[in-house]
Amino acid sequence: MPEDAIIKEEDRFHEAEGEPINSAVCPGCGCLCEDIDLTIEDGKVVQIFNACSWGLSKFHLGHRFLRKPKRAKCVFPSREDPSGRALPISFEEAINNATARLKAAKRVVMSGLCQTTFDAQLAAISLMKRLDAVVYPSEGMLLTPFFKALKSLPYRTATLEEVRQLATTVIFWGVNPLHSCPRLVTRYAVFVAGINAPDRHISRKVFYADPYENDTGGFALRIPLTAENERDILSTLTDVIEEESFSIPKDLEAVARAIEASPFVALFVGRGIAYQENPQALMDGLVRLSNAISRRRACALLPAVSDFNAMGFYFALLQSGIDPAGDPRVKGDLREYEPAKGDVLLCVGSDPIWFFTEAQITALRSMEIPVIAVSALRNQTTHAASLVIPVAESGVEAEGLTYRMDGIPIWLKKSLPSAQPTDLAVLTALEKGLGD
Amino acid sequence: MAGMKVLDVYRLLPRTNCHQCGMVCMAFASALLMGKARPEDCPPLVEEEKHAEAYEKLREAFGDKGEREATGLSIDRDKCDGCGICAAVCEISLEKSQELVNGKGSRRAESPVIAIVDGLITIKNPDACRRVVPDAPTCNACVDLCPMKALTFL
Repeated sequence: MPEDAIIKEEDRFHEAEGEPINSAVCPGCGCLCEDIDLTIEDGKVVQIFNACSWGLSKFHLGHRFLRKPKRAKCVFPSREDPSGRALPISFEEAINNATARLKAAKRVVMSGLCQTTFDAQLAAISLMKRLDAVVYPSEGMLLTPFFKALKSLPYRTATLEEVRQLATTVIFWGVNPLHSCPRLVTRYAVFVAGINAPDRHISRKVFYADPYENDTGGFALRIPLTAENERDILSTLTDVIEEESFSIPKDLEAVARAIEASPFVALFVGRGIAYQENPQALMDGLVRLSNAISRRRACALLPAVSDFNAMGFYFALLQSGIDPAGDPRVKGDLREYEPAKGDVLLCVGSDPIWFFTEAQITALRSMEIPVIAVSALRNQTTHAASLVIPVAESGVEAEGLTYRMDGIPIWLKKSLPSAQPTDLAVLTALEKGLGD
Repeated sequence: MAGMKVLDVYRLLPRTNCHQCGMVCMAFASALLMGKARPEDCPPLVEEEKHAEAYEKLREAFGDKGEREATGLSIDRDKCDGCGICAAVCEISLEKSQELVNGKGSRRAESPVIAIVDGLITIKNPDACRRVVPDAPTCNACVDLCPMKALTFL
């Protein structure tokens, strides 16, 4: 035993004292982990069990994502005075200011909407219809091609629980689960025992398809490809699986053999597809691959979404009678947005400025496009916004219905009180403020 | 530690080459930078009052990251993303937490070796770790399978 392995009392784990909340749901990503234990003291979360760093940032302890302050919030809605300073204004004034800007807009562009509750999403879509706005959902680069592919191709899926119990081959295509949804691998996909995988990761074959090696390589084999040949590789793999060919390219041999030997294959797809020249063709190809696999064994195709209620937004579109795969108002990749004079950008629970290209940011500034940010946290968009309406953080300070990445509905609980209005209250007030 | 070079570290050491740490001061500075030694391993630095300020600076630089736990496990808190793979592959933690077996995180009342607290790996029950229990088979699962390379045994 090494000398330094002597146990010292001061090194031991200490549990915080305070009001315990057990089994809270984490609004960190599309996994919606429901095993989060919190300790609350003086209205603040002081200790969190089981949340990953994504979840941690949501529960206001994000010292590594946000550094400081831990509760990065504007206390009041703010506006800029002619000297350039932000001034606090009341909620009513903020709503009036926002509705005036929305009414005057030639085109309203909505962004985000994947990190809020289902009710708020329905309210946003109602507002979108009213304003004839276009919307760039924050997971649009993944889910818009996904829903478009499903419109014309048969679709195979399963719940994450089925993946955990049955999958013995797991493929991550265009997604690094450790960064998109860190606990996906420990809770459902790799490092957990299932009926078909009693020895957890040892019983499973795990692959990732990415142009570059990344930390997923710590437990998965890479399917080597480049941005140029990704569709060709996908097409070849699909052909191999369809034909059960004996002549398999060497690079695809391991994954093809693993699929052939597996009773259940889980195929997770992520935002990485958006960095391909033709994301829609790649997504169509992935749906075809899942169908090819399904001919002789079960296969689940699942979008590994980072935004916790991204699926909810697309369900809300469908519930509101809008076809996410065909309606021209529903856009995909935010980087395709072309700012135009007269636009007003309404951002709900998102940070589009972080994603914009330099050209888009320059255009926004030169055209003086007003940005209205409805946000629980301070970010680049709230920094650039002409109007910030702070709201309660969904899943921590506001409750509501959400949908997990596999479409399972989960109720987000409220763990902390908040003096701020909810997203739903703001969106409803905005629509009311537009008048008849 | 950010931006510190071997000479910067060396200048904070006693520079007597007393060999009490098993090496000369320049080699010790290098070992500190590589995470293979910690400031406490230099007795004059710890014991002599005149080095107190330098010792504090070195503890600040090398104490937070790579903090050594009772098990000898060094955790790089900047790399850990709290995915929980370390806990999920720890056989003793699985024995002590039915929730972990079921794919959830361990609960407060349970005593796994490793728990994820405040988004980071935390050694909750070091007594049970195989590296501490006498005559237990050696186990490096948490270190070997950490994809972020956040864990090392010193």
